[in-house]
Order: sequence, then C-alpha cells, then structure tokens
Amino acid sequence: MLQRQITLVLLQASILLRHPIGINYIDLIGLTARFVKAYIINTGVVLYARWAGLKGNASESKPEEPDPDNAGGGSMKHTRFFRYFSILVAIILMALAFSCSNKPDTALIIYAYDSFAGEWGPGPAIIAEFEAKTGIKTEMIVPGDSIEALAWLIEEKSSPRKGSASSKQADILLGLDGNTLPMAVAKDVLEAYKPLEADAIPEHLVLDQNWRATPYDFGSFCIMWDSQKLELPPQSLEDLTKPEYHKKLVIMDPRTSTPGLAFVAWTKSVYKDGMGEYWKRLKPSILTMAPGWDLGYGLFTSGEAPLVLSYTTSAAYHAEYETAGRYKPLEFSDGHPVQVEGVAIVKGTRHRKEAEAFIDFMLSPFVQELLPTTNWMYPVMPGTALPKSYDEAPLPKKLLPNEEALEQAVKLALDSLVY
Amino acid sequence: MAFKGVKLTTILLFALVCFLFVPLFAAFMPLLENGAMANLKRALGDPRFTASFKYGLAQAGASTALALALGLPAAFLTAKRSFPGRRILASMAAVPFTVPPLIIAIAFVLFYGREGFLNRALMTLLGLKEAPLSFLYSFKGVVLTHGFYNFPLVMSFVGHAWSTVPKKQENSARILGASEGRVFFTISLPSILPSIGAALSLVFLMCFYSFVIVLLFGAPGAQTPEVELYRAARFQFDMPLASAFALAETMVAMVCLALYAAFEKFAGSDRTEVEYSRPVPFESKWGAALAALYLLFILIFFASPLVSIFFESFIVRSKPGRTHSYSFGLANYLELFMRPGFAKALLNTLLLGLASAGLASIIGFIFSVTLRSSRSMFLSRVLPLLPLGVSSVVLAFGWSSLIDGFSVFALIAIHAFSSWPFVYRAIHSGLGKSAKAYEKAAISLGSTRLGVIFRVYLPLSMPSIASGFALAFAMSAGDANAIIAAPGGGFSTLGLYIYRLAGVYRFNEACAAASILFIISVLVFMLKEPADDRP
Repeated sequence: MLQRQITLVLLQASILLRHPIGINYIDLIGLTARFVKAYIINTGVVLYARWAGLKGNASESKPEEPDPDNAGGGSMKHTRFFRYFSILVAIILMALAFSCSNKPDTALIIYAYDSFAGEWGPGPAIIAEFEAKTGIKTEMIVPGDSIEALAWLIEEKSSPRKGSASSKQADILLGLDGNTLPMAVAKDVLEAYKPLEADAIPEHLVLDQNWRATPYDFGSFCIMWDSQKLELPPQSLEDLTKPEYHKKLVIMDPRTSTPGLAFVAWTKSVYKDGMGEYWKRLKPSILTMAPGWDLGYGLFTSGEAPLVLSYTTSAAYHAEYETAGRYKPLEFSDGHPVQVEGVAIVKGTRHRKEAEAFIDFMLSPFVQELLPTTNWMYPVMPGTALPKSYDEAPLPKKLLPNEEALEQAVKLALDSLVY
Repeated sequence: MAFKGVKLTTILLFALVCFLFVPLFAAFMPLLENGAMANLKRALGDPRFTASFKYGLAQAGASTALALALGLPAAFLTAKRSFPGRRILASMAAVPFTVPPLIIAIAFVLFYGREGFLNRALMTLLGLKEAPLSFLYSFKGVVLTHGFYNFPLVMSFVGHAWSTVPKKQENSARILGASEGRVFFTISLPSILPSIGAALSLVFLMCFYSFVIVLLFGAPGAQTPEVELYRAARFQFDMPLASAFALAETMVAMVCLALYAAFEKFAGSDRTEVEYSRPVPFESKWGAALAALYLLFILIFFASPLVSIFFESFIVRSKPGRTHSYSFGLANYLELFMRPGFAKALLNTLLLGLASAGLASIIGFIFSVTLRSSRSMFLSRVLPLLPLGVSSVVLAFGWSSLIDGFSVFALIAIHAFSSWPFVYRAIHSGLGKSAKAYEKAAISLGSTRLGVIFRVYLPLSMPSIASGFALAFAMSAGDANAIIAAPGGGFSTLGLYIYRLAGVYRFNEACAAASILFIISVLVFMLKEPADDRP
C-alpha cells in the first residue's frame, strides 16, 4: 500500500514538475512543496476511493486491489462512520491541495504593499477607475509591506519557474523607494519606461535617470509636537539633545522600521562623521525606540511623550479626521529627509502595453488627487490640488537628498546608544 | 482491521512532518549559500551576537521567575478553591495566546506609562508634579510585562496538574497521620513539579522570542537575536546571515524544548487515572483573606492594564471642529461595525478559528490515541513540540518562500499546526492510564479497535478535547503572523485588522477591535470550563 503510494507520488510529481531539477536551493524547496502537494492530492484520492467503496479508477493511478480487511462484514456501523469521516478528510485534503495549485493569469498583476492595497489605501479606487477607463483587467497582490513585495519579486525572478505560464507573475511593482530601488536594480528585475508626463515631474523627485522606476508620490519625515503637553518645541536636531527634552522623544528602531531608518539618514546627512557623537548626546532625550511607526505614534497620541518621529502629513490626517492644531509638524532648520515612492515595470512582463498604461495612469490627476488623503503622501505632479487639511502639513522648505550606505550609519547610531 | 490506526497515522504523520519541516527547511536553506560555516562565522563573529544572546537569556530568565511567582497562587486557587470569579481567573489563560503583543504593550503603556492611570492616580493622591513610577522603559519594564503576560500559562499548566494530583495517595497519607504540610511536600508537590518545569521552559521560550515588548520597553537599541534576524532578513536582504541567526536561536529553543519534553514525560506519570478534584470553599478566614489579597493584586496590576484597553476603546478622538480633543462614547465601535471590511474580518476569524481548532483537535485526538502506547520519546513528546521551537519570523520567512498564492486552506493548516502542540498536549494528558483498562475490557467483550476508539477514548477525552479546542481557537483568533506571511489581498482577520488600524492612525479603533477579539476568546474559554468542573 505504502509502496504503491510512493510510486504514485513519483508519477504525479513528474507531471507536476515540468522543469528539470536545478541546483538552486529554491528549486529544492519548490520540489519539496510539489511533492507535498502531489502526496496530498494522491492521499486524498486514495482515501476517497478506498472508503467510498469506489475501488480503483478514481485517479489516473492503477486500480487498487480488493482489500480483504475492508470487504464488508466487520462492524458495519464503524465502517460507515469511518467512511464518512475519511470522505470529509479527503475533501479537506483535496481542497488544500488544489488551493495550493496556481491559477492561470490573464490580468495585469500588480505587487503592492499592504497599506496601499488595503481598505484605507488608494489601491481599490485606483484599480476600479483604471479598469473602467481602459478595460484592462487588473489584479493587485499583496505580498506584505514594500520590502516583502520586492523580496517576492526577486525570488520569482531567480527561480526557474520563470517562463512557465502556471503561476501569477508580477507585471508591475509598486512602492519602491530610494532605499529599495538600488536593490531592485542590482538584481536586474525591472524594465525601463519613461512615462508620457515624465518631463513634468520635478527634477529632485526623479528616482532614476534611466526611468526604471517612475515616482508617483513622496513624503517627508519630521518630529511631531504635542502642543498641549510641551510648551517650547525644539527647532533643530541639535535642540532635541537639550536637557529640557529629557525622555520626551519617541523614535523608531532603524532595524525594524522605515521611519527609524530615515531618522538615521537624517542625522547622517546633517552631522556626517559627527553623527555618532550626536546619537550619544541624543540618548537621554529618547524615551524609547518603538519597533514600528504604529506603536510609536500610539505612544504619542496617548500622551506618553510630546515629541515623535513621523511623517509631515500626520498633521493633515488629524486635521481631516480630528481636531486640527494640537499635533503640529516641526520644521527644523537642518532640512528634512524625503521619501519618494515609485512604480516600475517588471522585467519579462507579458503585458508591457497595459503596464505602460498603468504607469501613465498613476500620474493622472485622478490618482494624484487621490493619494494625499489615502496614502498620506504629497503628489509628484506639480499643480495637483491639495485638500484643505494639507494647510496643516506644509512641505518643509529644505529637503535633504537621499542618503546611501545606511548600513554603517545604523551600526554607528546603535553603537553610540549602547556603548 | 489493521488499517485503521496505522495507515491513517502514517499519512497524518507524513503530512505533519511536511508541515513542520518544509518551512523550517526553507528557512535554513540560505545558510548553505557560500558555505554554511562562513555564514555562521560571520554571525557569531559580530560582537552584537553575544550581547544579544546575553540580553535575551537574562530577560527571559527574569521574566520566567516573575511568571512563576505570580502563577503558582493562581494555579492553586483555580485548581483547589471555589470562589466567585474563579472561572474568570481560569479563563485568563486565553491572554498569552489571544492578546497580541502589540496590544499588551499598549495596555501596559496605558496603565503603567508616564501618563498612565497608575501614575496619574499616584500624582493626584500624593500631590506630585512628576510621574513617580518610571520603570516601564527599562529592563524592569520588560520583565514586568513579560511576567504578567505569561503568568496565566503557568496557572493553566500547573493548575491542571494540581487538580489531578492522585487523591488516593493524598488520602492514604492523611489516614496514616501526615499533616497537610507533609502531604503537600511529599505527595502533591512532587506530582506537580514536572508541570511547573514544563510551564517554565515554555514561558522562557516565549519570552526569549519576544520582539515587540523587548524593543519597546528595553533600553534604546536593545539587542535580541530576533531583532538581528529580522534586520538581516528584511533590511539587508542578507538571507544567509538571517539563517545563521535563526539557527543559533533555534538551538536555544531546542534546549528549552528538550527540557520541556523531559518534564512533560514525568508530568502525569503517576496518574493512573485522571480524576479532577472538586474545588472546595476556603477552610479558614485567613486563607480567604490571603486569596482575596492576591486576587486584588492581580486585579490591579494585571487586569487593569487589560481594562485600560477597553477604556481606551471608548475614547473618541474624531470630533472635527470641536475644541475638546476627545470624549467618551461608542463611536469607535459604531465606526468599526460600519466598516465594510470589519464584518468580513470577524466572520473570517470565527470560521478560521473553528476550522483550524477543529482540524487540530481531530488530528490531536487521532495522534494521542494511536501514540497512546508508544514508548518513543521522539514521536510522542518531541515531535509535537517542534513548531514551538521556531521563531515566528523564521516560520514566516519559510512559509512565504513556499506559498506562491494565497489560500484559506493553507492558512487553516498553518493555524492548526501551530496550535497543535497545545491541543495534543491537552488531549494526551487527559487520557489517563485507566483508559487502557477500559480498552482491554472492551476488547475482551468483543469490541473492535475502532469501537474502542469511539466508545472509550472519545468520551474519555471529550473534556480535554474541549479545552484543546478552546486554546486552538484563541491562538488562531489572535494570530496575525501567519496572515502577514501568507497574505491574500482581500482576506483579513481581526488579528490583522488590529495591526492595520494601528497603522492608519486609528488607535482607539484598534483597541475596540482588540476588545472584541478578547471577549470572543474569553467566551470560548468559559464555554469549555464546565467540563473541568466535573467531579
């Protein structure tokens, strides 16, 4: 019985595996996964055949020999119970197996990050409008946050499943920024496309001179100030180190969150080699380094600390949904780091034309006007009308260029805190 | 009828092994890129590595000690004494499984924080200007949070053992003239000791893997292996390095698990049959007073932070145009229920919980029946625990490299398999040795083996299946990791919803969603409780 199952698994596995076995480890994982799938399908079929009394001919496998153990007699009651039970198990297992299998794709596939595609993000409205306007069927897939989306794409491209029409492959990657674009470029997973409106985008927002990614929105980081809890706000990064701000600042951990990383970049571009010293001076002011923006900002709104690292647009959010004026963005004389988000065409797409249309659509007034209140970022197209709540969140006058080689800077900052 | 247990078990065992090992395999494979030794050296050579392990072990050790101190009285009270609120205390066992660390962190901030209820109350009472208690953002804060978060685990493990201490032995000792103290130290304590050990190794493991709480309350830049792993995988794209960290971390976990398995082996080894002792009223006034004091302590320092979450969920911030920045009301709940995604998330949570808990219970039952006479330590003790020894970051990493599309069934399976160790444990320990005597009797009277399973084992283990089911449901409901690792565009659950709400400024709504999640899980726990009360 077991032997026959193993042969069956091998047989089915050879059907499922349409490519020769590679050496890459992802191959091995894929192989194992396929084996599991094959085994589950097979087990389901065999179990079903066995217990539903349909001896053999249930799958492409050879018919089963009659099983003396099970041929009638015995305890009819339990056999009947077990039959239903195993039919149930078989159904569950089969459903499991089939749900693991891939569906063919005909739609334009976009990999986007969770908050963009979610209930509060601009994703659903963008897809609906794009489909209505162009008639192109579009699907947004969410591998997680923007880094996970890129990780999926890189893995998809490096795995030999490439070219097979079986799995849903991304045509567009949404959510690249100044930190992740170099990774994507290094792995060579993007195709260049210069959108029709490219020349209208301000020079300092262009992510890539070769247009491997097109910017669609941008944000800036700042320190938010709770004006009810603190009288005199700081005016610069240096001010934050003053004793009057002892344990008054919440920032995020650069190892686990993007704003945290941006803060390190901020100190690096302002203090250059002196940033280690700056972090030492800053240490007494830090109440805590939160693992993520959500928790850090939660501490701020529950009154735990009057200063928090956030986006300049946070104030616009409060103005839109709550009372304006209590929480204010602070403009520092040092300038502010900026995060530009871009969208890119994935190398080897089978929907190049449709993908181009989508990228152009991202720069259309519809999307540009939608982004400020859904993605809470500034639109890249000049002249886009901003909602009134954005009066509370003016763009800082001085924007700092993107910092590279943050790896070392993060280490330096953390070492300065600990030692 | 040789089938029946054996082949089904072979199949299940294989499926189980796949589910446990494939993601692990996937997570550790990158280690081999450019040579495993080189990668390990790179990881171990970092001075951060030793520092992070030291810190991780120290905080986990201290937290475990606190959880033990807090948990033992609760275990005694829930097992041995009847008093109003006993069932509520017992259902707190849901907390470590249901309430996500994000919410626990918020709860402790709201209560112990600089602007928390406790500090504000003390400031008003003592007329102070500055907050008197400022230990939250330090090592002490980490230990305090972990200790309170995990003490219900000690309570439920040890409480279960305590209520099943063999009565005959205790009574024989009493008849022979032993004092109550002597009975406790010579009979009851040795009988519950293995369960204490098992609970402690589990709590240690959970604290060691803790991530959100350590980062938030630990000193700025606090280092734990989990953070280094996360960073290597997420920000540096250095999978080999991440794998090396994962491996080192898993080693520590395996030691904990080996300890846990060893303790578990002895737990219940003296139980010839499982009989639950009926909780009795307090014998003396002093005992009652002491218990009341303890309960008051737990109420203030553990229940209040949780209540603060409820409190926070009624604070309404969204009043555009008003001068008051907030007010009280049901608006958060109303808004939550109006959201199109919420009803779906709630329904998904319930269905996912029922399906995965059902699956886990069925498999757990089949396993405990077929492995009832197995002497293999590996099969019956170690294997069921392996999923616990893998950090959620590692597992998520493994799963996401495996699953190429979203599937609800995959999610059910992941949830079922991650709660399975607990379900299996509950069912397995519920099957006393008396079952074997019944089995023999039934067979000698002409029953088939299947008949034995359905007529003897199933009824006997029904109460423990119920508690395993409740636990699995709670774990599934509170989980967000698996969904984040295996995301599907439209599919969300309450656990995920909480994170999403917190990520879009809707903090009070997140608290409301967490409150609902918590109430559901506690209700499920209360439903299974009467089963434990049977004489």
